[in-house]
Amino acid sequence: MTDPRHEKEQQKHRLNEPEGDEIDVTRMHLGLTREHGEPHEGYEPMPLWLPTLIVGLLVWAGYYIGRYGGTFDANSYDPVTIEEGAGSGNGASQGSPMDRGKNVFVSTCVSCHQTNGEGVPDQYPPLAGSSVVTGDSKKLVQIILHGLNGPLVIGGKRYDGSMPAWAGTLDDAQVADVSTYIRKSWGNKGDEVTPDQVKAIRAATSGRGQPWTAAELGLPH
Amino acid sequence: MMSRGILMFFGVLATYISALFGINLIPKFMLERVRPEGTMLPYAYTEQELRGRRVYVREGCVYCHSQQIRAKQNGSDMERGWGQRPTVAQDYVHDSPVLLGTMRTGPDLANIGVRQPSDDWHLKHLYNPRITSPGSIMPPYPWLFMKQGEYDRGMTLDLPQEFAPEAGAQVIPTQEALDLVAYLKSLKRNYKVEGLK
Amino acid sequence: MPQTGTAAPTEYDTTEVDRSTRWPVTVLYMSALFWLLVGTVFALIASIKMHMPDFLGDYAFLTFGRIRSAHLNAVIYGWSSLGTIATLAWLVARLARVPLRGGIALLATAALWNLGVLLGVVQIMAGNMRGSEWLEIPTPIPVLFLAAFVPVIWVSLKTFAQRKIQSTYVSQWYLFGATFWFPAIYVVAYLPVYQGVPQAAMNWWFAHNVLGIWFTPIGLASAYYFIPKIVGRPIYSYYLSLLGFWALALFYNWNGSHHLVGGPVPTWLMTASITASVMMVIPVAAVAINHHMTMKGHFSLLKTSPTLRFIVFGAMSYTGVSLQGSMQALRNVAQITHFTHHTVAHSHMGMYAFFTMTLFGAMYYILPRILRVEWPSAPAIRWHFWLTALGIGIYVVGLTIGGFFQGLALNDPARSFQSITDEMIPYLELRSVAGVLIAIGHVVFAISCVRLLKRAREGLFS
Repeated sequence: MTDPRHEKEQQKHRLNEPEGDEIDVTRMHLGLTREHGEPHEGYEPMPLWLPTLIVGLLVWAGYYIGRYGGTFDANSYDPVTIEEGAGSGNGASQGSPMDRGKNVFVSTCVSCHQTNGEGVPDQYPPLAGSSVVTGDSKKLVQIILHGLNGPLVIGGKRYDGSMPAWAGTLDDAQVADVSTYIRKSWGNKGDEVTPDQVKAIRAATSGRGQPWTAAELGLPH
Repeated sequence: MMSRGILMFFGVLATYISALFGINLIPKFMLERVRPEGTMLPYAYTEQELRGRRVYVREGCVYCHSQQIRAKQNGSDMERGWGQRPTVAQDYVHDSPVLLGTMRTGPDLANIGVRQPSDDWHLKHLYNPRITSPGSIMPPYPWLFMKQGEYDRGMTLDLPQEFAPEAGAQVIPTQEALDLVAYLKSLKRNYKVEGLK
Repeated sequence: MPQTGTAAPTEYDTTEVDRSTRWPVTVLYMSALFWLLVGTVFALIASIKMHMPDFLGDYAFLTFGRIRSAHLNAVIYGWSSLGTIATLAWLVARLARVPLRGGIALLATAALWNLGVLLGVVQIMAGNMRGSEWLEIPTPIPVLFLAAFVPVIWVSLKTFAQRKIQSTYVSQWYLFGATFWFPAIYVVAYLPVYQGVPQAAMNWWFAHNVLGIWFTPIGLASAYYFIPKIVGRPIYSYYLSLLGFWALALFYNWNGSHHLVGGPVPTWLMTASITASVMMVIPVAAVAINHHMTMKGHFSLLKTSPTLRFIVFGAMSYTGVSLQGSMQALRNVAQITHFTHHTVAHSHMGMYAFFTMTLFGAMYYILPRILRVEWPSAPAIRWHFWLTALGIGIYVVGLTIGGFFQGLALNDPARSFQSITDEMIPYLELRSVAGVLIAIGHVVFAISCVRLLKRAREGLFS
């Protein structure tokens, strides 16, 4: 394919491309003065598939707006949002205690105790393999409700931090579910905690305005 | 030819105006009438929370943290425990600038005040996120803290050895750090939204 | 050696036209280049911080949130906007076939605009930013940009009014649109009347339109000018040009709200933007066919013309990024890609692989003509092209894939957040490698430009 016009064009453009550092004055001016005229439009017709595509897209747009248009309203969210009832303040009431407990756990506990329940060395004690978690459920619920302050020994390691109180955030069912979840996860083998148990403990300790210490609960410290 | 130019001008103007109204001004006027109803919060921010919010904006937290909880169909925000319900326009009536965010290099913070109420955790996390969250890629904010001696407010941060500025030195949060933590703790979406259904 | 005693094949004397743009365009381009280099350094720091979070961790002004915004504003308002204005000025004169009228006023534009970017970037790094993406620069600095834009409108309209040719070429339509649209969206975006969710709607209307109806029109105007210019044949079809322009004007404006997909935004608003985003297929297809059919049979010119190589790379990226954008806007896709590095890859494909590469192409053509000297080194141009093309290629492919996995993992509640962070580290490291390649490319380009200027000075004074 040696179109002579094509060859010539190529040559022209090679002139635009300098080589190395040599400056040849004539060549330089060639590069500058030789260019094609200012561009203008040709009048080829559109390929037929383009209008076809456009019609197809417009039909699709009609469908999409019909399907997802919603109402022309400020509170018109994607359908499922409304079904889930943006109305309930504390949702997630379906599923088994373990599922619900996991939801509470990933929401409120992981930032310290981590997803794997291992805690953070020297900072936050592990829940996995912890006797405080799997032991007396009353002490565990008391800690979750009101928090824990000061030194505590878990698995032979000493921690000196403070856990916040959750009594104001979590209801009885949530405390029960999350207790059940951590007592039965990561190889832990504890029994379930029921909302009624939590309710009783909450009532019994309702006057308490500050976190526990390990000493108060008779835990190693 | 001039008529062509005028035609073009009006075309360019019309397309601009259509979108200006369509996706900017109409939503604005429509959503501005949305107000929390009945017993619903959100409450306005306190002075301190607003100061903290300015620190949040200043340090560009919004570039890695969103503040919105999406419905189940759009992602697993709620299964992740980031919130118990999708957020709606009413939740943001007090926000300017609004900090919805478009990136989740870090977790969503729309409900962080419920999820992590501990001052101590937040302060350590801000001083160096790897103290509380090993493997985190969040930047440290040591300029929100001072070494004891330079500053005194009767409150020190109990840092692990490896993160302390020098052996034995105590670190004290500045007012800005406390403001920022106050703001983060104010981010709660545990109230009911009424008038939706 | 071929002799050319013949007159230049252009139908008028380009020398005078090019000379009239010499000072403003050179100053605008060189200050744009300065911001490109500054923005690149910021970008590298930000990128490294994403996988080495304690890197430079003690300096408040370099913290990720600030340096990222400084990067964005340096490259958007510094590099891209100054480059846009320079290209616009040169194209306006060339298309009208008359010297730029009042071009010297553009030096004031350059001065005010650069001052604005400088103050803006310094304010952001000092911690004074507004908290809306793409609108970080605090008031009253935007007034400088608006003042700087007055001469742009004035010069381009005045030059257009004196044009020596009846028909108006498609590039001119885009230039005209951009000249009107940018100040129109910028003013509205800074009105202090937004709060809550409507502010987010405004924010994305603006941010998406800065790309859509400010940079894109100039990128397309350049492609529409340089492809037929270098190939030496008319642009394929006037009808496609017409369709491409008006469909863009109609649909691109409506893009933006899909950045809030799933958020606390009315369904109808998201649907409007998603539909408009998909409709963008129409102008993109029209432009792509038009450019492709004009190039057809002349692709070998890519080897010899550096301008064409950059411009065609840019034009192809435009098609790619736009089609990807249309797809990504759909709810089902956004469900995965929203909030991930996928979006970051997408925006860099638009602003870099399309716009910046096109701008490089335009600079390679324009600068030697207005300065009347040739580029000093062909290998340097080749290095520049391959380093940046490879760099942005790695960047986009890496983060597109990484972001996709990130989105899948985020949607899987069984995956802990930390494990997702860990999974992303290799992609973020790859991004830094890509960034280094791009940065070297920019240094090579800057050296070429400095040597070109030196030559021009020798030429002018000898």
